[in-house]
Amino acid sequence: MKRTIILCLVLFCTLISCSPKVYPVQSCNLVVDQNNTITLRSSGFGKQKVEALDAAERYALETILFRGVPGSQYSSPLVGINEEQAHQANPRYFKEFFENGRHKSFIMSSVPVSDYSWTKYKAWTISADITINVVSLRKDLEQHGVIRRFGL
Amino acid sequence: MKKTILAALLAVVTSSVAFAQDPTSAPSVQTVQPKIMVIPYTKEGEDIRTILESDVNKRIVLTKIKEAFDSRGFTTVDFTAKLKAAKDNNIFTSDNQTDLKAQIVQMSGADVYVEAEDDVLLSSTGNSVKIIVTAYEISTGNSLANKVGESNKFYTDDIGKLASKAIESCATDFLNVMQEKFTDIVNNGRSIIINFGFDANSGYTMSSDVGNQGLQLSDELELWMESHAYKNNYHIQGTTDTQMIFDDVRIPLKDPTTGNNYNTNKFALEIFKFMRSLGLTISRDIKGNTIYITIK
Repeated sequence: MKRTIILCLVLFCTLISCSPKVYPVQSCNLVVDQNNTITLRSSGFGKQKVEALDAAERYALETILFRGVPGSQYSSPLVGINEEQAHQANPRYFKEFFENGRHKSFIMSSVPVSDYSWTKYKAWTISADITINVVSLRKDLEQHGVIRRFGL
Repeated sequence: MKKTILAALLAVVTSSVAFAQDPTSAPSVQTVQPKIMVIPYTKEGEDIRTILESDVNKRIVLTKIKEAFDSRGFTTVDFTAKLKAAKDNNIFTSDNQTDLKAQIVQMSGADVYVEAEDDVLLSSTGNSVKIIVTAYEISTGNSLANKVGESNKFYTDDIGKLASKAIESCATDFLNVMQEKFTDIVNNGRSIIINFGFDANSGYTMSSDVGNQGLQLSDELELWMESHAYKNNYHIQGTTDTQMIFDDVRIPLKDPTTGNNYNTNKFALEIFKFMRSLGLTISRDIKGNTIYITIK
């Protein structure tokens, strides 16, 4: 009996380790880029709908700031690819921006385009079209010395 | 007791404010910005004045580009105004239109020029406009940014509107690329050209022994450049017995010791001092970002 249990346990553990690991991936794609604004379709995870929507908005802003959006006029990131360095150089700005919710002021609209649903990543997710006022975001970054003004 | 605490607090605050200032860049020193001029592209033999005055679409393209610079808080030199001023003052000495454009660029004092070319495509499936915009550093010819903008096809005869759409599709990206190049200049220095030559009556050549180390003049020049080029960044185009050309020497934007603006003239002065220390007499001419040193 003992042997059978041990054998079952070993078999169970082996099978579990063989199962494919699925890591949650947030997506962020260009919808439209015009009139000094950019609209991105971004997804976010969260235990509540509001939390997931906020994660989607943050991810859209992080993409604009640190990754760039291929196929748009913002293919180069506004701040730079080195996210860690940017955070270290301007800790107060980014704390205020992301943690204290200042990022919301640069979002012109946030329209959910999917249901708040359970995914294969074993988490609740939502997708939304996030429109960002890029001109005011850039000016704000310039004013706070996070990025340089145009010129030398 | 209260007074002592207040005085101590005041001292701490004052000292922290004083230490917050960067000694190498005083806040009162404004970085000298490059002058940028937006000009239309013209083919060989085309009259730049007639084209600009007769073609409203070209003027729209130039205005839209200037608008993009304005939106980033940057003022450009107005090409049309310069053209009119040049016309009024009769500065044009040649009938050759290519020379005419070069003359305007030269007289404007601009450091960077942005050239815009538009291509109107008319078809039964709709009309469209393509815009090619390129930015160059005038003195070195270094390219700063290149973009092609497209309006997409529309059933409209309003070419000006299509041109606007074409510019809008690439202006932000164009300026971002330019800004990347400007940031590179801030971090790695401005590029200048230095041309060493000899006076017709000079008794020296590049292989003459000069100075106390018993080195040839060309070696002395390279060693000096090695230690004075910003971040040791320089490139020699070539050396002959009568000439030595440094086609890319980086100089800082700000003087590292004083924090004041640094320019080509100041670097030429350093060269003058060095040449004098070698016992050489020179004359120097500076044109834009190019220094011509003539050894006598």
